[in-house]
Amino acid sequence: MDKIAVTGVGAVTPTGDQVNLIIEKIRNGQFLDQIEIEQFNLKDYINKKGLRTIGRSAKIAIASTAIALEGHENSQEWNMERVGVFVGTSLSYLDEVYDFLDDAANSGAKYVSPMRFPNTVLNNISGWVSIVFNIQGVNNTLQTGITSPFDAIDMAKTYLENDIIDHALVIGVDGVGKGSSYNKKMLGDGQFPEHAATIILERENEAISNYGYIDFISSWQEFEHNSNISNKRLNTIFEKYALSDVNHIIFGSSNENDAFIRSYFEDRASINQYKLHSYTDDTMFLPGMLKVLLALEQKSNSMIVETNQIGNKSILILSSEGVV
Amino acid sequence: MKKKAELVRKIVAEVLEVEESEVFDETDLVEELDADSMMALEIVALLEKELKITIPEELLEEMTSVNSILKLLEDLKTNVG
Amino acid sequence: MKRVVVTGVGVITSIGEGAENFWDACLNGQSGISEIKKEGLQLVGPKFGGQTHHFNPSNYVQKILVNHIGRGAQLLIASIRHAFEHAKLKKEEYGEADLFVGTTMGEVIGEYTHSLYTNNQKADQSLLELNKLNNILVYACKEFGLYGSAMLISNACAAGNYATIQAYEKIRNGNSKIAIAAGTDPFSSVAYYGFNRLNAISPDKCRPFDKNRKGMLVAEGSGCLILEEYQSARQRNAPILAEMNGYGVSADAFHITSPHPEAKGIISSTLKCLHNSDISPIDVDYISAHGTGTNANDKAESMAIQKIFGESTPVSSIKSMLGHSMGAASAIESVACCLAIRDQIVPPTINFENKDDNCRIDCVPNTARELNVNKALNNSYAFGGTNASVLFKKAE
Repeated sequence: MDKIAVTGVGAVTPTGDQVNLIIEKIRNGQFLDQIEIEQFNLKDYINKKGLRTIGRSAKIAIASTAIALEGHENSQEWNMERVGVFVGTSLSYLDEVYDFLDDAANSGAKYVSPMRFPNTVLNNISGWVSIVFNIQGVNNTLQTGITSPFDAIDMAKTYLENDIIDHALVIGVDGVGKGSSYNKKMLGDGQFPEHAATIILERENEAISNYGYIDFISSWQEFEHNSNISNKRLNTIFEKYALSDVNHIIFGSSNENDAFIRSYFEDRASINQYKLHSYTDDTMFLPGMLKVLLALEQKSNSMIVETNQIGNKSILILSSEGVV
Repeated sequence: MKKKAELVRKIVAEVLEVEESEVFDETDLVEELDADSMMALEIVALLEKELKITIPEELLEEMTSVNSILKLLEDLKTNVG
Repeated sequence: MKRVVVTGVGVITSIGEGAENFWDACLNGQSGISEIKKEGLQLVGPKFGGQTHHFNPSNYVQKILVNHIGRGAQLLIASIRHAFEHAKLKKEEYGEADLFVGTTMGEVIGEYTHSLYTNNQKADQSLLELNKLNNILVYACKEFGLYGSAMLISNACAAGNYATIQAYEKIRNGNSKIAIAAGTDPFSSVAYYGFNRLNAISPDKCRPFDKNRKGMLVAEGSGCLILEEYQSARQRNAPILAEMNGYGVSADAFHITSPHPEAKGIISSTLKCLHNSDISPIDVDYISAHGTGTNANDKAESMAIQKIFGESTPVSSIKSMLGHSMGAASAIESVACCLAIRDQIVPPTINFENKDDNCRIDCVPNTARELNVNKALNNSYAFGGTNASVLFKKAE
């Protein structure tokens, strides 16, 4: 079976929309300096009507996708009936629900703006991306919490390998509106910057140039809180891949699993732990796609591990040429 | 009446993302300004909110220009009054 | 490529819980529609919906405190429990199962903010705690001790079909021996207000394909299918209801709520499904329609069916009985397809009184029909223009 190649990237974050600069900020520990993308204007990325009242997360997802498509060599020639969009998101729906209920409270449920309802439907982000870019193959939204971006990559890989589509736009996105944000006093020092990051995937033999390959991906549930049991499968995968095939580990989900991963790789490979958010809980925020960008930026075989406190786990192994 | 006309023009321009100066009394909102069904609903919603009225769904398709909207609002007022 | 069969099904619906109760009521054309009774919900016009008033989660949730989990998770756990029983699966056999769940509104049902409507208060941050979406998966995994893959696919009203497609591909490609495909949605206040604001809700009944249809009805429920690799199912002497033959997906890329007026996306997903299943339109014996009862959907859907199949293939919409249970709908409809194949009988579209010239199809009006059902097609279409068609056939 053809390998799945990464052939495009794009991102929109509070620290900017150029992937190299974003990664530099992450490496320098400066990514948490700003939470909101200031002065974001969708019209800077795409000139299309009818997007005025769509959700914030949908807007930034469209922007990061526009960047990725523009950077791709032949996106203009794609057969749009064989292009799919796969969105991994976590909490953005709460912002839209908050706005909807807020409007209902202020105007009365009878007079709430009709536009706000589609924004609350969980798959509105992938729907809007599909409408704006005329994507007719398939549109999907995954909301498995923190592992959503990896589930989106997994699903895209399945559709590509089974020859259902030729190109996949895979997006990881979360907003920070009133619905999803905690008050600072409730979170302590918790911050999570809003962001959208898009990667383009296609089968290797059809790719003109590529940044790297998705070699392995798995998302699963281990619900026990006893960490000896809950890390059993992590351990198995580490044993199988990490020692021979991987030279770079990227992890850091701000929970107890981090300690296990760190101790396992103490003397092996180049371990990198990135503070992309400092409040995890069981659903909040998804740094997954940003970790993918980090992996792509270095010439390496990287293993990315994402976990949360309630048993969701994801591992992605990515080989990269470091040309991002 | 003039105030109402200004309100309608403002709402139409905002929803259809055009300048108010582009919205004449007889401009066809669908043919000339690309209004779709969702935008039509939004225009209705904003009018209902501002004017505290209910516009029956069947009348939506008559709302093709600023003038036709104003006439509709007048008719509604008469019926209620 | 492996063969994928359906070995058990389970549902929680307004007309019955568990496959056989539901199916009996369904074939009898029973309506599950009732007056909406929901704490904190302000009725803004439409009075009817498809709530599962009799559902008692304590009958199903054993390992977790029932009051700690949302209704979406409760409904899901219940239909999975029914499906495991229907498939005669023991705990040591289902632990490794992958879990793919579809939903439209998830746990966000707004009921915790009922004070908003009565006291004119704003929503606050507690909405976050009580509406964590992926808990739907987590609680199901905890309840049954599942340790395989788990994905929550929020593809709105086609989500159940998409969950089924993921499960199918996992097994077909040899990555899994057993998978659970399910859909769940509790009755959503946000959906109720929202669809009302889009003028999409019927004032009384749901009348798919009828000339005087006035819209859909918001409902709740869950549906679950157990998919297994064929040899593995044979080895454990599993009951085999049907085999999954193929699927097709597409995106309208047209409008966030309205279907493409020429049914472009719907036609595409159906044709891809037939192609993927290696069959012709004439081979399809029964179509389970999306059939929401809105003007736009039923017209577009009929156009697509007429174009591909002609006017004589039996098509019915069980949403006429259940209302629209959102993410659960297509999963429940797949359950109906599998039972139709097992029993060689198809459910009716009820409340049908007047033929619509725009819907020139055989909608199996009002009475169930005994038929040779070898192949059954399940179509579903969702907000954002995402479409999915799934084909089931008699297993040989």
